[in-house]
Amino acid sequence: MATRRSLLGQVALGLGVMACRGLVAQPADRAHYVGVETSIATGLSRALFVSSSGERLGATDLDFRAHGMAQHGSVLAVFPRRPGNRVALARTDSLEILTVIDAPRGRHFFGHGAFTADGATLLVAENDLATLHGGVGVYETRAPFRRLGQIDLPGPGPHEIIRHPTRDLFFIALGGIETHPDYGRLPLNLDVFRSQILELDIRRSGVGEFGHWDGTEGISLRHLAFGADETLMIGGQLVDPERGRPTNILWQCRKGQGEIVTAGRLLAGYVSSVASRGDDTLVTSKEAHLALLLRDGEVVEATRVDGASAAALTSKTAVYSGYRRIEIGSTTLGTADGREFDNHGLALA
Amino acid sequence: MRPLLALLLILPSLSFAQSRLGADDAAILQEGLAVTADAFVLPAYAAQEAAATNLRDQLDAYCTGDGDIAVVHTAFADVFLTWQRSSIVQVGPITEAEGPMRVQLWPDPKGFARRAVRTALAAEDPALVAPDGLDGRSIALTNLTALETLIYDPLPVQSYACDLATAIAAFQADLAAHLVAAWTPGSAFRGEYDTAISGNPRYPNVDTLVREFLAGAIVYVDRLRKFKLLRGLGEATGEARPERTEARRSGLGLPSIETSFRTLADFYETPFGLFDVAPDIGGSMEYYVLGETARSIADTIAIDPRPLDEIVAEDGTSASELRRFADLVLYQESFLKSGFSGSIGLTTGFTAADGD
Repeated sequence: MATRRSLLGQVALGLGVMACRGLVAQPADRAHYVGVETSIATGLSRALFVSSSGERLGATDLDFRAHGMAQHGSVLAVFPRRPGNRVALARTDSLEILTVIDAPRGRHFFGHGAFTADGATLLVAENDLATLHGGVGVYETRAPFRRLGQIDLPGPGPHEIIRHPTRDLFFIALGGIETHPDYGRLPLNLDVFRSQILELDIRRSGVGEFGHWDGTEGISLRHLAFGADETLMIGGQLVDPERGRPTNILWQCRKGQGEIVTAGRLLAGYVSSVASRGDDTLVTSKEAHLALLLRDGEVVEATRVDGASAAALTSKTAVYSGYRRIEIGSTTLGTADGREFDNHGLALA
Repeated sequence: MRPLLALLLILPSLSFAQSRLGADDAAILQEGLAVTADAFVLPAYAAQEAAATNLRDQLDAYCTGDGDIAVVHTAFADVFLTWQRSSIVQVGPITEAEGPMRVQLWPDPKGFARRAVRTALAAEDPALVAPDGLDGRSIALTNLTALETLIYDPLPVQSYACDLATAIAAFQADLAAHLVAAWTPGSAFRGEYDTAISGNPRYPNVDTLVREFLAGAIVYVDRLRKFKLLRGLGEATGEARPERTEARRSGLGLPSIETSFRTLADFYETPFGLFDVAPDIGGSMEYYVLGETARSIADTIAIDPRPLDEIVAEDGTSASELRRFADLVLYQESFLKSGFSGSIGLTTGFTAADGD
C-alpha cells in the first residue's frame, strides 16, 4: 500500500528523472542546420550541427571529405565528395556514427543521395568505373546495412538526388559528364555531353527522362530542390563555354516544362547549391560569391559571401555559407581555426 | 540577408566580394602578382612556345626527309620540360576547357592517348593533319603523351604518322602562343589580372587571385609527390613499379621531377613576386627555406644520369632517396595550403574546380 512517504518519494524520483532528462538531452537535438567543415591541412571533414541562433552544438568527425547530406528522422547520411567511396550514417541526436558504407569495387560515389520515405533505404549516386555510366546504389539503412542493388542510369555523372515531398519518386540531376578518378576531374566527353533530369520510381525500379530542354547544352545540371506547387528548381554549371551560355544555369520546371530563371545570369555560370521551401528558393554561387533569395523566380534578397556555397532553408530562416562563415538568420558563425565550410549544408527537419 | 534595395545599390557599383585584406596589403600583393606574371609566368610560357615552335619546325624538316629524329627528340624534351615548369601556373587561360591536360594527359592508365593515336593512324583522315585540323579534337590525341607515342615509335618520313606528329606539335605551339598572348600586358585577361584589386568579373578581389594561384600550386606539388614520384616508386621498398613512371619512352621522367623542384624554388623566389613581397605585410618567410630545399633536391637529382624507370626497377638507394624527397614535398603542400595563406590573413578557399 502506498504511504504518503513512498508517494512523495516516487514523485521526487519522477521529478528527478524529468530533470535528468533535461540535463542529459543531447545538445544536437536543438540543431536546425548541419554544415560541412573541412580541415585545410588534412582535407577531412566533419558534420557541424548548428542551432537556429548560430550556436555550435557539436560535430561528427569523418574520415573523408564530405559533400552533400540527407536526413530521415534521427539519421543523417553524409556523402563524400567525388570520387569518394565512403558514406557515413550518423545519429542527429547523439552525433555518433552508426556505420560507414563503402562503395563496391569498381564504383565511387558522387556526393549526394536521398532516403526513401520510410527511411529504410538510401539511394546514392554512383559512377561505374568500367563504363563511366552513372548508377544509383541502393542500401539498407539499418544493420547489417547491406547493398541491396543498383539501378543503371542512361548516362554519366549523376549528382544530386532528391525525393518527391510525398512519395517515393526521385529526381536525379544527371550531369552528363564522364569522369574517371585516374584522370582527376577531367571531363572526358566535354564536347558532346548532354545533361538531363531523370525520374526514378523506386517501386518499379523505372528510370525515365523528366526533362531535357533547349538551352542546357554545355551546362551540367547538378543541383535540385522542390518548391511550392511541385516546382523543381535546377542549378547547373557551365562546363563547355563553346556550346553553353552562363546565363542558362538556373532553371525552374513546372509540369515537365523547364524555363530559365533570369536571375541565374548573376551567378557567373555556376550554381553551388539550391534550396527551396514553399515559395522561397535560396541559390548560392561560389564563383559569383553571391547568395540569392528568390520568390517566384524574382530576386528578393541578396548577399555577397566570399565563396558562397551551401544553401538551406530551415523552418525559421535562410542559411548559407562562404569559405569562412555561415549566415544563419541575423547571426554569423565563423569556422574553427584551420577549417573552411564546404559545398553543402542541410536544414534539419 | 540584405533587402533587394541593397542589391540594387550593390550590383551596379560594387558587384564584387569584399577583400579580407586591407587596402595597403592588397596593393602590395597585387604588385607582387604583377611581378610574378612578368618575371615568372610570361617567360615560362614564352619558353614553352619557343620550344613547341621549334619542335614543329624540326618535325616538319624531318618529315620531308631533311632532318634527324634525334634532333626531334631533343626538341620534344625541351617542350616537355618547359611545360613541367609552366604547369605550376593554373590560373587563367590554361584552366579553360579541359584545362592543363590539353598539354599533357598523364597519368593515362586507360591508355586514351595511345588508343587515340592508333585510331587516327588507322583512319588516316586528311582533315586531322590539315592546318588547324586538330582544333576541337579530343585532347587524348592532341597532347604531349600522344606525341611521345608517335615520335618514339618508328616514324617513317613522308608518312601520315609523321604529318600527325607535326600537326600535334603545331597544335601545342598554337596553344602556347595563345597562353603567351593572354599573359602579355594589355591583353583582356591580363587586364583583369592586373586589376583584381579593384574587382572585375573574373576576379572580385586580390584574395581570389591569390587563392587561385595557391590552389594551382597545391595541385602541382600534389602531382609531383603522388604521380611523378610515388606512382612508380610506391610508398616503400618492394612496391616499385617502373611501368607506372612518367615519360618512360622519352626517358624524361627524372628530368621532369628535377624541373618540378627547380620550378618550385624559382616560383617562390621570384624577386618582388607574390611570395617575396608577402613578408612586407606580415607574410611567412618560410618560402625561402622551402625554395632552397627544393633547389637543393633538384641539384641532387640532376647528378643521377640514369632514367627514372631504371632507378625504380632497381628499387635501391636512389629510389629510397626519391621517396624521402616525396616526403619533403608534404612540407611544400602544407605551406601552400595553410602556412602562407594563413600568414597573410587569407584562407586557401575552394575553387570552382574544387566544387561540384
